[in-house]
Amino acid sequence: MRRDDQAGRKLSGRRPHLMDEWRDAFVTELRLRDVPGAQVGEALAEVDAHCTDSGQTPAEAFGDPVSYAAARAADLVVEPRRMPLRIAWMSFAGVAGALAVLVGTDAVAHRTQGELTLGELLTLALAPPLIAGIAALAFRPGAGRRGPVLVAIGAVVTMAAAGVSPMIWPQVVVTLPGPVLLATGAVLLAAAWWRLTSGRAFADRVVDPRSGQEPFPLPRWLLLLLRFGPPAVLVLAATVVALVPHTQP
Amino acid sequence: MQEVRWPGEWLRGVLELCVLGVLADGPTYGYAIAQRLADAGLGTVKGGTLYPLLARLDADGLVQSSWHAGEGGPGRKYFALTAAGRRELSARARLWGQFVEGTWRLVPREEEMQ
Repeated sequence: MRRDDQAGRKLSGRRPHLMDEWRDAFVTELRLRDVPGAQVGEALAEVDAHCTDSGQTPAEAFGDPVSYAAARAADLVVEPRRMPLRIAWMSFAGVAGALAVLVGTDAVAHRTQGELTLGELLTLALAPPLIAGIAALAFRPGAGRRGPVLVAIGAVVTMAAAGVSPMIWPQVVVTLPGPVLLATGAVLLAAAWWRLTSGRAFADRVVDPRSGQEPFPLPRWLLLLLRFGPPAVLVLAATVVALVPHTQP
Repeated sequence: MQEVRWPGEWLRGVLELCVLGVLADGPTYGYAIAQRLADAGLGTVKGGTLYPLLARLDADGLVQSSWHAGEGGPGRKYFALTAAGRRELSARARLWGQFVEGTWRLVPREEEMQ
């Protein structure tokens, strides 16, 4: 019998919990360092296999998960970090596309010209770098778990600013035909949506090389919500915009 | 063999060569490599040191890795020397021999120090 078997069995009661916390931190840190999903799965499976053999916990065999992830990521072939650029482009295409579609729908439905105000254009110019900056700050390597909270706060502040700024600066700066706005908006939204659904959550999954299965599968409802939530909200908003009559002179 | 605490930089310098040497006896998995190293008196080599090293050897094309199903467990990752790894090992082994010979000429024997 292996010397460590006994220790392993003694630990097994609390090991799954320890294991999950460690694995969680390890995977998060590898992801923050842009390590592709397949290689994350590979590194995770190595840890599991080694711990099964040695009867040690991951912390005993590999030390601190964040430091080990840093050491492991340094040796993996990793694409250069382009996350802030990706997010800036996605938020620009998303915000600009939604704005263009809504203003375009409004113009087409009411047979007027599409008007973009100074406030809307300011939002367009400032929101994407702001969102990307917050994301880069929140999701930098070693940031731990504060990331999502920071991003949520940033998103709420940005959205509030986007909602308020057209009221502060209502001057019309650009006038365009409705169909042009609609078409431009549709292209931008398609690009943003494609970027979203070809991103990590959907395309680059962590897969265990031993079983071919995902150790951390995202719930199906969440995937559906991420994929079809934004288009559904936009269609709803466009319908409202088209049906509500103009009150402004 | 009794456990000796080797200076860290000695281990760092020689660990890769030793791992290649272990793999020269045939493909094996991470924990078994660590045990072979411990049996040889190198002490406990942590997973956090061993697997990044194996990944580096893999990326350099000196070893090849593949998963094999275990008896009871979910499987182990086996590492095998490639032809390039074998060439590298024999080149480094020759160098290592010269290195040890050279250092042995400079380092006084224990009895000479008395």
